[in-house]
Amino acid sequence: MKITDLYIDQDVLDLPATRVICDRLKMPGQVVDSADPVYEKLSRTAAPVDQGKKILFLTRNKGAFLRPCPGTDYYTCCNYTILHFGTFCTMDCSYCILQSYFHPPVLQFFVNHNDMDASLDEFFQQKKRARIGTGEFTDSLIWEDIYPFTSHLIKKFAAQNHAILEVKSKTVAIDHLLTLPHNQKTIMAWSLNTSDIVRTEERRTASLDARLAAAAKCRDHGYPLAFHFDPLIIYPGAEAAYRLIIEKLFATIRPENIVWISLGTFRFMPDLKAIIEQRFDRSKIIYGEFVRGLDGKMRYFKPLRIRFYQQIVSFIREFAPHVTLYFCMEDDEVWEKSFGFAPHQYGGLPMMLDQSAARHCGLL
Amino acid sequence: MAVDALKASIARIGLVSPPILKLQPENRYIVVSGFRRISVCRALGLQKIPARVMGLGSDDGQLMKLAIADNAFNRSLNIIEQATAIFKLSPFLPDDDRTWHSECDPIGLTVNPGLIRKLKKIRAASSDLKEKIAAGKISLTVGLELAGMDDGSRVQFLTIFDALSPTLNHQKEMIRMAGEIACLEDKPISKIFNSLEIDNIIKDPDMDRNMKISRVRRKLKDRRYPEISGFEKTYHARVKRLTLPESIALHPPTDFEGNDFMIQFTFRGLPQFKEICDNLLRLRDHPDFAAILEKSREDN
Repeated sequence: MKITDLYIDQDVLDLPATRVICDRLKMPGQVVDSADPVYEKLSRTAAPVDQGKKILFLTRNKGAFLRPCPGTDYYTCCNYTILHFGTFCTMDCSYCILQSYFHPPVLQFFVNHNDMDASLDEFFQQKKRARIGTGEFTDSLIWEDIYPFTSHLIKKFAAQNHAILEVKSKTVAIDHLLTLPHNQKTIMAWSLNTSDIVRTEERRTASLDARLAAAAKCRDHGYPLAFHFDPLIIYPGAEAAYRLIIEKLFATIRPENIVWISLGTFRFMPDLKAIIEQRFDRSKIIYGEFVRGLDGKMRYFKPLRIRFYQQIVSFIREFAPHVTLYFCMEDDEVWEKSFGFAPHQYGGLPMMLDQSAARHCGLL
Repeated sequence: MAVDALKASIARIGLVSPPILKLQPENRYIVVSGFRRISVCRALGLQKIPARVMGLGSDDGQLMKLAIADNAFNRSLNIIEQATAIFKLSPFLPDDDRTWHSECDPIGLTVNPGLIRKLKKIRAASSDLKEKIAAGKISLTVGLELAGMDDGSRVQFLTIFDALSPTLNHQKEMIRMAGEIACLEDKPISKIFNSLEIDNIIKDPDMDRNMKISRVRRKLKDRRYPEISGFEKTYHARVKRLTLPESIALHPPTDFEGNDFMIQFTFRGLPQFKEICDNLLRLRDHPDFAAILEKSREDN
């Protein structure tokens, strides 16, 4: 993590995580009594998104640490729970929603971990099945070199039997996690894409081979795995390119080690288009055949994405006929035409995923 | 004020607003503002006119502001004149152009940071484009898009806009679609237009202006969204084969994204209602209607 400016909320100055991070970064932090100076600094720069990846603000999560994934009504959501421990990312993917999601985008790390632990303890006491992830508003593992956050969570989840933690990443910072007592309650997950997309659209991410090698290491240490083909991007030659990565995946990982694989074609809020055009002037991904979806996001024209999904599903099914495969935010028509069934026939998507987690991770 | 009107005014009531001059060494003067007024007075044969003379040590920044204010408060400046004024003024303004509006407001230039950025860019545009922007034939927004293009592409657009006078929204749509096609195909826009034979549409004597605009837009859309265009054509062909009377209208989900179709019908009296019911019943077993509801891509 290359940080040029460190800001510390006065309120968290004495917290243990703040001290650890300051020691590791070896840089003086500027103490502020609100987020305003941080946002001001960003708003004065010509490229706030780029600058936001270098400015770290240590602060308190004043809202809920555990919150439902912001799914929308029309499309089927998996009812994931987000563990909101930080925002933004040091990697730089053209399609990343975070570029337009936060105003302004800035690296924030919430260091009031006592509050987070209390939220988790309270949640665990309810003994209800849940899938909790840290990779929604940031990458799960980019923070590891400044604070061993995921290690802490893995140990915490290992001590209960009702919820799983999904650590989702495009990095390979996993070596320090391998020997932890995870009790199979942490799923190590990677986003996968074609080599063309990784090369042209995912700046500063680990290569596909490195991601798969990291997944194999985790598997060797007993971690359940998951993979996310999201965003699937339609471009000339995409089907063959996705076929290659699917072949590679199953040449490395056996289907029985995979808790689930998600699929989701590229979708974005209309505001993101101008940002991608400005920041990734060679990128063509926004010039697909998009229409405005019922949630306001731009999505590939439905017949086009159904045909694409059908192809990807058939590739995966060829190698892994029984692996749990699901769509992130699609409707029944897409499910039925691509999978041959709709989630409600199996009790709904959340139940399908809970059951898969129960089988692979020993949830009660 | 047009030159003729200015001439008539000076001839009738004299020079209301004297030009501003700056004293130079050896008792020479340069004109700070009022070129048109001096020219008109000359044309009227006036030998002497009053002028306001600024001293040798006058601040150049102040003089520039004076010149701009003198013009801006006499008549409204067009967008290119505003761009020129901003350009000339810029050496005398702070580096941070977000504060410029406070300097510009008192001299009659109503600008905000966004407009200043646009004006700075348009200043470097080609003269043909600037003329059209100044004349109000091309909006500043569209002008900025065109200014960033290669010469061939810009000329193509100006030719289309000149010939067809499309609305601002249609201009923007044409620019966006052509630009995106060019990006996808790695070709200059001018080549895209050539391959789409846009020139032939513009010159077609059998089409009126609206038909031409519609044809140009369709050509661009077909190329930019081949899948969507193809699907829509199939859909319309199927609807046509349903041979529905005008009293029945079938509405698909917007962009075929949702799943709710709608049938709307109007009728007068029972006989027409019965006819509509017969038609609706006929739809139930019509293969094209089934294909429409299935949203299948392949047409039979």
